[in-house]
Amino acid sequence: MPHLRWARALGASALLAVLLASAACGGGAQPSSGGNSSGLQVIKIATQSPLSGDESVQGIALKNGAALKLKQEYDQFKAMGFDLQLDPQDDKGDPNTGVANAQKLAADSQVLAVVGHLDSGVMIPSEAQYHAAQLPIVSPANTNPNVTSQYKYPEISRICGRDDVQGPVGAIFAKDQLGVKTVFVIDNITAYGTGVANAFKQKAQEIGLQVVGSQSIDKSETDYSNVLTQIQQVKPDLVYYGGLYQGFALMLNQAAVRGIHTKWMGPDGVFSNGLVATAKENAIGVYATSVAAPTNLTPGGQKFIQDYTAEYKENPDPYAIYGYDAMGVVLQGLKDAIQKNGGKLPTRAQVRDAIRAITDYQGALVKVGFDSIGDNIYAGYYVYQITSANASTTGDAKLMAQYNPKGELVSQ
Amino acid sequence: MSSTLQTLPQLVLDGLVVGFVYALIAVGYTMVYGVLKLINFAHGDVFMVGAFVGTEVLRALTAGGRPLSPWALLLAAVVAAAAVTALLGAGIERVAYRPLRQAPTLILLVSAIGVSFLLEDLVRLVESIHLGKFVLPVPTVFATVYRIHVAGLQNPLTIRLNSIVVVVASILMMVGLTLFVGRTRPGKAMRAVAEDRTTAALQGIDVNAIIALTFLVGSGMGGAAGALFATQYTLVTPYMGFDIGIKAFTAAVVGGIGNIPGAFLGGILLGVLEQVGGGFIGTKFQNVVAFAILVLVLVLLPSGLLGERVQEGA
Amino acid sequence: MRRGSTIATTATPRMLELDDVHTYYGPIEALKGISLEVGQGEIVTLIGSNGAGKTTTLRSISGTVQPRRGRILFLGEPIQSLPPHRIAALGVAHVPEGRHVFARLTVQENLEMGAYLVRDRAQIRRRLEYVYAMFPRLVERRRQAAGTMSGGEQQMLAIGRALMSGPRLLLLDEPSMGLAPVLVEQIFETILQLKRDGITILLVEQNANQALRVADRGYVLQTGRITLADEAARLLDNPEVQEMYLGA
Repeated sequence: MPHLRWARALGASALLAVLLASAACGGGAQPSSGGNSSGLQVIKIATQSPLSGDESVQGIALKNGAALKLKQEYDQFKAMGFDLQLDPQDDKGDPNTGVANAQKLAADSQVLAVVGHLDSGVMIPSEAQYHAAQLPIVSPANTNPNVTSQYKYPEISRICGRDDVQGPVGAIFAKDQLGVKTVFVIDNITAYGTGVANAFKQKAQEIGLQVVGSQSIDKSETDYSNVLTQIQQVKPDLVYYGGLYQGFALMLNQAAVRGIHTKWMGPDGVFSNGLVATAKENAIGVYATSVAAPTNLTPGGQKFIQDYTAEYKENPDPYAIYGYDAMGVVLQGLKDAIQKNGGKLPTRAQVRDAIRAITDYQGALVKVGFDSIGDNIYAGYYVYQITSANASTTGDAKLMAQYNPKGELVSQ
Repeated sequence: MSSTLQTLPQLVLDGLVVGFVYALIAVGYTMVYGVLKLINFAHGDVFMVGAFVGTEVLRALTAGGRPLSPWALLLAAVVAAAAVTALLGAGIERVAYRPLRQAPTLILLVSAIGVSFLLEDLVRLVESIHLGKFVLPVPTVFATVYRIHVAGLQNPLTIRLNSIVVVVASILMMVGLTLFVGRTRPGKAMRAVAEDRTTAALQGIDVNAIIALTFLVGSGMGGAAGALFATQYTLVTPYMGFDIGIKAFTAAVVGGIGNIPGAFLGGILLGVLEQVGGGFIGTKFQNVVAFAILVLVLVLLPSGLLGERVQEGA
Repeated sequence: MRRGSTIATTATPRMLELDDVHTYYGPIEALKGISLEVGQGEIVTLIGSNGAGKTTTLRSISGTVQPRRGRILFLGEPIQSLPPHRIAALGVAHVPEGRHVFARLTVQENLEMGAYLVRDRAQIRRRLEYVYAMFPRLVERRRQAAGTMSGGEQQMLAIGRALMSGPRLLLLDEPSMGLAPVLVEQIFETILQLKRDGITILLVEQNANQALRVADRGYVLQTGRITLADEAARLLDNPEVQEMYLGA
């Protein structure tokens, strides 16, 4: 029976594909026993970030930072009768995966809060899931304005600044500190990249910079020759890339081959060890805006670097401390909620309200206090320049300027 | 000269380079379609495997300094990629397509898509275990860059030695394939099988062996294209085969699916039009241009630019 | 009518023997137990109306379809479960109905494909000369795509291609179909010529009259069964055959 034979072959290859695919995706959530031998009640805090794919350098750093904070506070919670567990999810930087993970987390009643995501484009579509499940999520790094402004859900908060300030800060810095007159703006066709690039562009036009070109190029593209040819033609003083480090690094490399000499700038998404690792000396001189103060300048930051390096045997990527402080905020809210609940296991809604009620949490790097839509009233903005090809220290980035939450210059 | 016209020569040059890569991949689609009437959706991923094999060979050979000349490096990478993917392609045919020879084409298509996912996740798995990451930068082979000043152009034309090598290698492979298919006994048998499998078998041609050979050759060229592409664009990911595969398939259809010179023509045309279109309309429309061309060609010339119009004997 | 299997063998050694061959297309039984034989050097013809199973019989012999039951012996060896290219390698050449030349290959390439299994270049050259001598029209068209030729030329090419393998047994399926009368005449002359050159032929023809004139013996097929087997000359005189197939 020939048709039986091929049906069987098809079935077998499909099975094999499923097996291998699930093996490849392994390392996500570990099943945990619900009860606990020592009589502790399990509380799970999830992380959602890309642990695989192009953005995994940042996504893993984020998760590692969060895991470190959780580990440090484990004993405090144990004393209160709780077994604190990390439930790391891989959103792959992909909206569909992010939403699916959010649904999974919503269904797990032991999960009381989430730290995530890395990409605004993943965060925004996932928000409805968190809202429906009353599951609070604290974003360490989602800077797109819509993350808080679009739905204004009480479950969604962030400790970092907003792109409608970060982008303009870049434009102001370019004009005032670099004396730039013409700019070329590129974005990577994502909620984050396009959002911040547009904010940059708008401000640039407002303050009298000439936008001599503007292009979008998909984040998965590896050939930047098209846009580089256009840049070569119009010779802007500065090229702004709204996107993430991988695409930016390739563009820098290909621009160097072209012999294009210009100033380069990007938002916090490009400010990563990964950028320097791929672009090497081509990254030297690049400016990056960021929503994080330099880690090594505050006492809390220095201690974080020590602890992180001891735990993971590598220097932290700039995103690691965002994850660390976001987890700090979550755990502060959790503690408050437990206390208010008389030491008993709080509900998600209680944790949510306790997180949003935070007005002055001092993290290792950032001070956090939430306004009515979950934005951090203390968020500052910073401009760095990469000065070396040392990837383990993000090119020994130098702080060039600091701006307040309104985007006003504080210091140079 | 207007500013966009100023960029035209550079756009065409860049388009040619990527176009030759499309052409090499398109050949694999068109050859397999020829003999099996199957759109081998796994072919883009065979290309990806070639890119990874090439990258790994380059990594291994440049790990302790650079004792080899760039020519030797490139040759090693391309030959290794072609060899591995040739066997891979023939293996895929044996395992995933031959058992389904009597099944409807749709079933084969499903099998092809399954193989495609399998290869992507397999490469991801292997590289994750091997290197702890699966997005790999590619070591530079030819660092030389030529800047040619042309009268009337504000900017010098930038041509990388690597680009020239990619184009020359592609042309050599195309000439080789054309001679193989046109002049040799197995090449002619391949064309006979493509036209009429049953009658070919009546001439004593072992059809299964010729189909396997077709996969061997088509996949090997796709894998070689992968290695060349890796040296050109310096980054490989397990998912790179999808977009490029779709474009190469488009090129094959534009040229007339089943027709080898058509695949060459379609690939080069697509590469150039995509770059020029991107330069004039906007970079984000590069891909749109590619598929607009596909639709246009299918509407105006349903059998492609060089599609067969010869009547079957009757 | 007498059953085919009961009668008539030939004086010459057997080249081909079918023994109770049943062949199916899906659930449809196209051959319901065919038994026949072809002797060395003979021309044997199968006649019958459309759908009687003539083409299926040839396809079963060349391996294009595999019989579900029964045996096919070629020079005493069973071939019923061999793939077509193996059967061709034994010396069976099948000129299928509708010619099936490789339209996009040139005439010369088509002939080369016929000699696919011949490794000896001198041999190939000799056979090319033989075929070109037999069909001079093909010489002038050797660089031309086969699909661009007329039906008659394509039929010559299909026969020529089969001859390139140096076959011992030639299966010809409807060689005169769709050809102008003058060409039909030429095709049957060619068949006689091939017999003189020592090739054994199993011929399927709608044109029963012509076929029986060139054949030594004939079988009449009706809905997958052999209903009559006899010397060709006697079949020509058979009133039943005359009424049903010769339009008398």
